[in-house]
Amino acid sequence: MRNSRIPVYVVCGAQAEMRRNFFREFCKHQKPLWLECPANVTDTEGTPAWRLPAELPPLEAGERIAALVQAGAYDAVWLDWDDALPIDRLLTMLQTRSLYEHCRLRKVVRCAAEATSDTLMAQNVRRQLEQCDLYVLRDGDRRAAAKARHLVQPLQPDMEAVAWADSREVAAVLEGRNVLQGVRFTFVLVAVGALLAALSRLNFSLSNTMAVFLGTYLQALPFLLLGILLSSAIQVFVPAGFLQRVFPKKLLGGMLFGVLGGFILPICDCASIPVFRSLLRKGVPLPAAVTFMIAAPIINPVVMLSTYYAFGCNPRVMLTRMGFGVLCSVLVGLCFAWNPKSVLLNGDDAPTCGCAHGHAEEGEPDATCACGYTDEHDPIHTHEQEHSHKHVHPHEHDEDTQACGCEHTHASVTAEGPSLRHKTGRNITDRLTELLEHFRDEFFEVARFLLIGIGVSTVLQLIMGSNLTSMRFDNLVVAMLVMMAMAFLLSLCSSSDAVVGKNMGASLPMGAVMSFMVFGPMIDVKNVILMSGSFTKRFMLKLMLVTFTVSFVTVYVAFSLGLGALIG
Amino acid sequence: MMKRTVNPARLAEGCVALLMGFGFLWLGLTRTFQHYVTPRTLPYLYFAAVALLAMAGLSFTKLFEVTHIRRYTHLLALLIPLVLLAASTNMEGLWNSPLFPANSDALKTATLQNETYTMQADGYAGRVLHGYDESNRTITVPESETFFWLTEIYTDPSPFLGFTVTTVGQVLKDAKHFPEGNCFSPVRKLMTCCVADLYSVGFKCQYDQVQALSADAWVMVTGKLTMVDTGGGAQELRIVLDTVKTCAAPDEPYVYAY
Repeated sequence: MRNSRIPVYVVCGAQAEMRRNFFREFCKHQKPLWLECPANVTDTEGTPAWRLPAELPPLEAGERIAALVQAGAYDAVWLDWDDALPIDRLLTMLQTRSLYEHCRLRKVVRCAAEATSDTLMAQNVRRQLEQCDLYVLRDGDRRAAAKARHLVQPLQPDMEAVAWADSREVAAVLEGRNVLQGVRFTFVLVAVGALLAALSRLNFSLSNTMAVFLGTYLQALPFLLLGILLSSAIQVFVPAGFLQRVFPKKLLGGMLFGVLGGFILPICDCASIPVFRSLLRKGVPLPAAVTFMIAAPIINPVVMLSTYYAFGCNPRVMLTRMGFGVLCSVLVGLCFAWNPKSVLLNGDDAPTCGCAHGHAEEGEPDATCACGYTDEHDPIHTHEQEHSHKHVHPHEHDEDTQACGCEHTHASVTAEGPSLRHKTGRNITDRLTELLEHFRDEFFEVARFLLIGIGVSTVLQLIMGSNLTSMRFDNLVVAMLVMMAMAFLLSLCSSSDAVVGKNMGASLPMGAVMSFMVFGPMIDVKNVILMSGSFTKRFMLKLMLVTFTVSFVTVYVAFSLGLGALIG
Repeated sequence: MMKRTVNPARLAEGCVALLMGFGFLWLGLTRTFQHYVTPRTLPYLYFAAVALLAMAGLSFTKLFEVTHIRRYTHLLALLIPLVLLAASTNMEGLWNSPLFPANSDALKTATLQNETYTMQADGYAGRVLHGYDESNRTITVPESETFFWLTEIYTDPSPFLGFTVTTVGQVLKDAKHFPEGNCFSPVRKLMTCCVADLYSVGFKCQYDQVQALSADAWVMVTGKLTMVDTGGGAQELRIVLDTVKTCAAPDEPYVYAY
């Protein structure tokens, strides 16, 4: 029975006419069943069979489609799906037993005039994109399609983005099976195997290579998980606008607050990046968030203690390192105070109130809600308040989950319409589930970059090996540059890099060892790869250059003026 | 009526997270993790295990979630380390490691517990070390205190000169480190952060039959702490050995600096 199930194609998008045109142009089936599911059609006697009213419960809608399929000898079902309807409703509908036995979902296509990060921000669109196979761009060429692919792939890495004009490519995706994921999966496994084989041929012991990789992984993963947990807790439990309220409005005050946060939270560089991202999403100003990210791995209590012990309990070395950490983080933060542009991919750091709608300007009433509706918003809407605007919902909510895709729960339905409080009024179980979901999503988002970072630093450590401890440079500038390069490449955990720095720099000037301990926790290969999944290239490049320059100059100037003699 | 189907992506995700979570627990309970990271990582490993098990629990609660797109590639982020962990522990012969192993330090006998010495070296002052017998002028270095005894003795050797020292280590006798020809060092690997940062530490020992020793063999050495003239009026602290016995490798693969 299952093999003879006819394929179902779903065409999503905001414009009904565009969806219909897509069907007319790309449906090559002999006898397709075209079904429209508009959001604003009610079930009346005059409603044609090919129009499914939005108010129908998924089960009933599914059974109605199954009856239509059984009545006619169709070879395919094409479903027209309005953006206002949650995609989960469609998926539930297709699970209706009678429909499931006759049909199988083949492809989900989204048609759009253009792809911008703004149009993809709405929560329901995001959820829809997560389930899409193909993104078709009406007003654009291949280049625009490539740009669109870049925008949508963080949501669904296996999605294809194709220009409407590329009809052969659109048809190929519609007819073909998605083998991209299998290819990628196999490629990664083969690449890892090939890398290990190559290393063992280069006289690197396989067991040693794996041990070094696992050692770094076991050291880094718990801290990454800790950071992600903190980040998720900020996202789920900290009310929208709270951090904006709490963070001092003045530039310097905000940055000092960032330094204080770095001092209090015992997290290393792996953990500070997810927290940094979370702070940005919650509207914390970029300079303050950067200050936190740079300071936290150097000045936290664990790092201070390990530095203290590494240098024979010399408090001067520990305090000097901490001083450089504070100074450099504030200076780097200041460099991001002017012209702060969006630094997160897909503009995730645009000021949000937690419900993911676009904002013309803070406090303006004409915000577009995640659900796609712009009217009926409560005109009072500022980020200083708990977010609780009212809006009329013409779209339907799933009976079981009450989900409409707009990321809110439904406290009550009033005579004026549903009064909805975004992210409020939920019980602790809901919140904990949301925390776990957030935690899981963010983990899988960044874990691959951690793995790549560790892989790269493992290879570098194996290649450089014992040469590290026998370095000799009398010139401070050269010694500092070498040690900073080592810090960048080796990607050591900041909680224990002091011992390594001390041993590596045994025959180097103290300034070089200090530059290793100051620069390494701020930026290294592992961090850069970890950040690449979430931040723009422009931001990362600027951060690397600024951090390098600031840490080099401050350490060089201080040690040229005789700081080494004071702390040695 | 709705058709309930298992979501294979959620099932796979739950299984991988579950395996990894139990893997972390196993690493902690068998102390196998000490082959890769320092003991102070243990609480964090348990935290990671709990987090991964919670993630697995979430996946299993969503086992019947209906999705069109089913992603598996992201699971490689857990699957690759999991496979490497299984392969590595297999290669190291750690598969049969017992749960809750006893702390077996070959040189940490009940007697040593009563023979204590309080460190004087800067930064470690006040730390109590074991194996110090002032009346018999002997120091039996417990494995876990190798780094601290080295630090204490090399910081100020004078109070210990003439003491008979017993210690365990792996023979390091290459000409680069010991050009004298009659010296070697029974070294332990000091782990500061993880297995990627290992340094060999040990006493410099003088022994006429160095050539007879196999490199990397585990030995228990006993000899007197002596300042040896190295020519040109310079002196160097060495243990002039009386006995060298081969011994089994210790259970604890590394020593630590805390």
